Amino acid sequence: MRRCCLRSRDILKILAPAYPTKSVNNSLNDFAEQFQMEERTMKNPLDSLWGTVIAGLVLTVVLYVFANNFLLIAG
Amino acid sequence: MGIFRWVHFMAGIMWIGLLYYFNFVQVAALKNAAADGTAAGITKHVAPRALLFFRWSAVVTWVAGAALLGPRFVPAFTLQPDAALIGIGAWLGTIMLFNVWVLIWPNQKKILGMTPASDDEKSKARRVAFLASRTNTMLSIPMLFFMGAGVHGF
Repeated sequence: MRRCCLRSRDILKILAPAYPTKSVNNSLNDFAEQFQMEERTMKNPLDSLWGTVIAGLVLTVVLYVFANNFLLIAG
Repeated sequence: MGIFRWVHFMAGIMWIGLLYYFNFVQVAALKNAAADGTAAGITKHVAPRALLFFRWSAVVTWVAGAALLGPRFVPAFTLQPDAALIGIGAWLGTIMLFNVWVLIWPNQKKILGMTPASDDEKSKARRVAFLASRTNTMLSIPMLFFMGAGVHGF
């Protein structure tokens, strides 16, 4: 059970750059309870430099897809 | 046109270079400097000078860019198919210019004591200026991509 929870937290850390580190240190017997806590303490990705860069890269991809499919097609 | 391109590039490098300096260097340096009591050196002598070149290079970049677009200015900003890529870059640059003059600079004046503000107002101004600056850093990534794509294609 403990191994399972640690692995889940690691995955969340990789997926969300602004993952709240405070909640990681709390005792986590119930995964649902942990998830609720994360929602309450969710941080702004712009608070972290890496979060900012990743957000910029994601925005680039979104705008690229948008331009390719909706703007350039008319030409 | 060549002179506008030249000015646009020079001012743009200064603008984005200072933006990256603020975000990648100064924010972290100020945190450390505040801990050992040397932050005043940055806030008194470095930040005001950097902000001066930062905000005016933003204006020069935008004006030179608009001049460089010339007759393609309206097609670019209305995202017409033949000018859509440079148009996206131009819109992102325009949003960034707005952030500089409407959000970053007025709040930095409060933080640096150039305009009177209470501690509470300073604290709020610090957060707004920080987030606007980080937003510009985020927007600069697709902005540079689309500026390049506008000229050279994907």
